Amino acid sequence: MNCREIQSSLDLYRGGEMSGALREEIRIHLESCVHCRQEWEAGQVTWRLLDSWADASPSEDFDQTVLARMRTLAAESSRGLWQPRWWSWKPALGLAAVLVLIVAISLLLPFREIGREMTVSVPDDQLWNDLERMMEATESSSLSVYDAWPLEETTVLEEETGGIDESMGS
Amino acid sequence: MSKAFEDDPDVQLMLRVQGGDEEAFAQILRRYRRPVYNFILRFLQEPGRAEEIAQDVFLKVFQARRSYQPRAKLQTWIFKIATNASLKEIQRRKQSWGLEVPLGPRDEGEAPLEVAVDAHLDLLERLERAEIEVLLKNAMARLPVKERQAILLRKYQGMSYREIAATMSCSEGSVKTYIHRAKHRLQKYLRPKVRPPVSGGAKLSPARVPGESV
Repeated sequence: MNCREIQSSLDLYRGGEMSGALREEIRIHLESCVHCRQEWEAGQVTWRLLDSWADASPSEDFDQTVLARMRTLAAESSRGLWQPRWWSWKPALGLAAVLVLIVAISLLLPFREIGREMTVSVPDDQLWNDLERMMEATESSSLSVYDAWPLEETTVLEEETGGIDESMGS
Repeated sequence: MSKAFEDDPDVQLMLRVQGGDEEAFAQILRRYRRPVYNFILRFLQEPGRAEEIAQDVFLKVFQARRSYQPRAKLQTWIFKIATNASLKEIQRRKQSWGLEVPLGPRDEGEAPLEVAVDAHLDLLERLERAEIEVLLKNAMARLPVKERQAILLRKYQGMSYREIAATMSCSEGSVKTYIHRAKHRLQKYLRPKVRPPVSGGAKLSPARVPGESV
């Protein structure tokens, strides 16, 4: 083993957790290698220092607190046995319901659009009658649609424009 | 059940807990409360929070009793839960405060502790225990999380590399690296404060021999 391998094995060497042959190899190496020996000695000092970090005690009511909480958990757990089996699937059921709703809406929406396109807007009767009257008047007297327009509106139009210049059309 | 663990008295206790034996759970609690609490305390260095988390660890042990399968020592299983709980706390702190290093004691402003360590002298005769603890807490708080876990499990729980690997869910090779780096970092931090012994002061033989319990 080289120095690097020796140094990374010093913890196992210290714990005596290696074969006799390997242990002997490291021991001989430490006798001859100053650098590895210093590493070993520094490691021993560190290990001894860690020994002096004393254990602390948990609070006196540690056990009682844990046991009380354990009994509460046990009681909740035994109550849980009476719950219906599907209850544990509650979150999944909620999610499934939302998904079904989304799918249903997305399937119905196109039909609503088609229905809207097929709707024909029919003018009310009064407007329809006015239109028919205007068409008949136009056909019978060879007048333009403008001539069949209500008189008062035509007058206003002429006043505003100063009359139509007849010569423009000839 | 794995043959290797069926005679483990702790495993037998846990199997009794599975059967609803509250006294068996109380025995596990009495046996492990101190090591679990101290592991979390040394890791987080916050006594109040360490106690809460240690209590939660035992409640998780109880809650997981039905799914428990004795594939490893009970100690490994309990410390795996403790390790995960400690890591979760570190994550929570990072998210809440942007802190990675726990709020341990600090020695800013204090004179460095110049300790002349002689392998033949007891350290406790040279330093007050409290001073050493402050020194160690500061050094430990500076270690990366994985290295801190590995060295605490090794040093204070006496776990083998295999057990640490099972506890931390990593390979034995990683454990070896974590421990080597952790010791190196600790030495680097402690060296200016602790003068190593004169060369030749420390024995070259390991403290223990193979076959001894770790």
